[in-house]
Amino acid sequence: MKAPTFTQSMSWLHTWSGLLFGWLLVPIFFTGTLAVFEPEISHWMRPEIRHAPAEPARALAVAEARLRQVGEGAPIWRVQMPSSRQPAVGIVWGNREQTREEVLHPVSGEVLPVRATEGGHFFTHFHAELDAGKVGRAIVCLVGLVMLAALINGIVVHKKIFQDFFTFRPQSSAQRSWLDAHNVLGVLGLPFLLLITYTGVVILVDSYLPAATYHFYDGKAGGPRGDVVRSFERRPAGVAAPLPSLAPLLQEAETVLGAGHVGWIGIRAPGDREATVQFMRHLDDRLGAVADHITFAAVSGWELGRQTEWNPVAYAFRTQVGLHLVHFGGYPAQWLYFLSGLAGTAMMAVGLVLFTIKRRKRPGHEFGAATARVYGAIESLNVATVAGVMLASAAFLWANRLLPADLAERAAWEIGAFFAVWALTLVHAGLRAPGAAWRGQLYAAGLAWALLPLCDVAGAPGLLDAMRLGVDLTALVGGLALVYLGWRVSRRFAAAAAKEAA
Amino acid sequence: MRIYQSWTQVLSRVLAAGLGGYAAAWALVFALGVWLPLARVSLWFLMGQILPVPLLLALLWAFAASSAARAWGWLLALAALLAGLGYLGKVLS
Amino acid sequence: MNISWLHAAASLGLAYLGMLGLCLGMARHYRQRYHHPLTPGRGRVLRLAGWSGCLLALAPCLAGWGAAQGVVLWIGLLSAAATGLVFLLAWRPPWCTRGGALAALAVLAWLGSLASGG
Repeated sequence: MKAPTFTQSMSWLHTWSGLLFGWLLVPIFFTGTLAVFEPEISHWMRPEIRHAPAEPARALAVAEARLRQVGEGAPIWRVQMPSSRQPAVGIVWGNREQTREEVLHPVSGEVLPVRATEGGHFFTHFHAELDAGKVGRAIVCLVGLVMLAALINGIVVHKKIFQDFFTFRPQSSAQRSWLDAHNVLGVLGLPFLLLITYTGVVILVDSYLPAATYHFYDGKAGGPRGDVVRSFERRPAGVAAPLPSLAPLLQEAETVLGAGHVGWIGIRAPGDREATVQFMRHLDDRLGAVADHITFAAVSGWELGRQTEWNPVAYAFRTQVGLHLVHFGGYPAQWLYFLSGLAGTAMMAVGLVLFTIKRRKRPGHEFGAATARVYGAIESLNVATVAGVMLASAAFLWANRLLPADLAERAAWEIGAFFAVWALTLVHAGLRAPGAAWRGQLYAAGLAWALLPLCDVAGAPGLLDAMRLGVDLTALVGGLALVYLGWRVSRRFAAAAAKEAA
Repeated sequence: MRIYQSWTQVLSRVLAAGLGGYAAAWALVFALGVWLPLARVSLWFLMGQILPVPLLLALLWAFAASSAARAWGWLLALAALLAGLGYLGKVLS
Repeated sequence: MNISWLHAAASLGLAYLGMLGLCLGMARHYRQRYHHPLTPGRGRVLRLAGWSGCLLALAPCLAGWGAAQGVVLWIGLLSAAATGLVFLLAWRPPWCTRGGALAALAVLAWLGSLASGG
């Protein structure tokens, strides 16, 4: 056997790494796409919160009043200021070991009885670490590296990038049209795919290969951040001194950070003579995911320090983080990421389908006597990792409305619903023939998403605000698209079966 | 499509990409850390941004090399060279 | 409605027109749309217009988001425009030029808002 040519080896790698890692990549990409709208999904999942026009001074006043009531003696207070994407005021109080939190109406200050839920953060969390902590992060990083390799060897294999730039022939054979779709989505989405994958690996690479932390920081994970972000905290004196109103400090902080730009406020040792108040800027109007901040001595009101300039290398790193998180650019940027993410998910899903289509036509006998059985298992995994994960994600949102509000461990049950439904889709895909499995799961996922608005209105009565409506409409459109896809796929399978019978 | 002689060849390349690439990238961090005149914080944030590149190249190389032995050989040689450069710099300073 | 949507729409419109020019500047796609061959002169004009549209699409992004974020959005919108065009061309070839008219409207609306100081 001669040594393979470069193109052959890249093609081999693209096929097999794409298949094996595609089963993780598609769920990671799909949940990451949903995670673009994490705040909106979180808002949808807590319908007790209504969108109300908030004004920073008022919001801080209600947070302060509540914290003085419940946070007595806690050394740490935090306030999350309302924003257009996160309309309530969040307060947190506690110590280093344990914190409690509440959500307040930004005008009336009423404590909102929000249900326990992980919210849209679950998608972000699953996307970044597969719900498996540090090991999960390392795995996702490895998956990202393989994805980068697949993008590069995909270009090598495809070759005719520019001639075929606009080429898509849905009327040709199944294999040709799926291959065109895979190529065109990959090539046109390439800038986004490279950017999102590279920056994703940058975010996670230290959990995969912690060489830099080991050599430069003796393995201390928090070290680099501590060297970049200046802290103006002070040791508590142990001498009581009443905490003055925070309103004048907010005004002063806004002259530095910009009016309406304060995102978080941290109060340390409230009630102590040495108490400090730190104001952090939100990130939503710059690429670099770094929060400028300013700290005051709470009692005297003097400024203890501020940080609006950053180590340029760290800023560049955080720019890559910001490019991945897309807090910048407002809704046009977030929609662009969302749609690009869906296109990327589709590109990979089509890649998985291509593997089986090619072999349905011309079996490769790669696994000897077991080939047919292995192909069957591959089909099942394809269905469950593409359509199954979409159904499971919808189930997570359905569980939010269907589970009783006062259920113990409620947030965990919602996540349980995601994994339980996902496991069921795998079983279903294993039991049914490929055509029936694809059809059933695409229809199920499509209906689950398309009917989400009904579930929303029935499960959480009351006025819809713009954000909830946005989630509902997006779910409806996406769901209908999946139903249509299910219909097309079932027609394709039926046509193929008729051809075989004839 | 079978282009590699046997599944042990494939496994060997996978391990070369994973372990060999990991070792080379680790050694690269070590060597750059010794030779680059930067503060440790800048080094850390620089490494975070460039590390995907050597890991990626190692992965591609492990499968593009004409034999599994070559895939291993070059990656290990590179790792040894970088580690050596790093120690040399440490000794000199 | 946020003004940034108008910037995005205008940039998407210019990107679409640009991609349309580049696409129809290729013989195979010109034939796909018009069912007759592309003359070399017309091809040159289309491709030149295409590149110009893609470049000009940067302007609304810069106006709306500044250099750093603007460039990111520009590249993303170019991708989005090309993807939309490909699917229109494949399924409904005549619609791809009608889409161009819609794109031009978005650009005009944006220019109008600039002229009125919006």
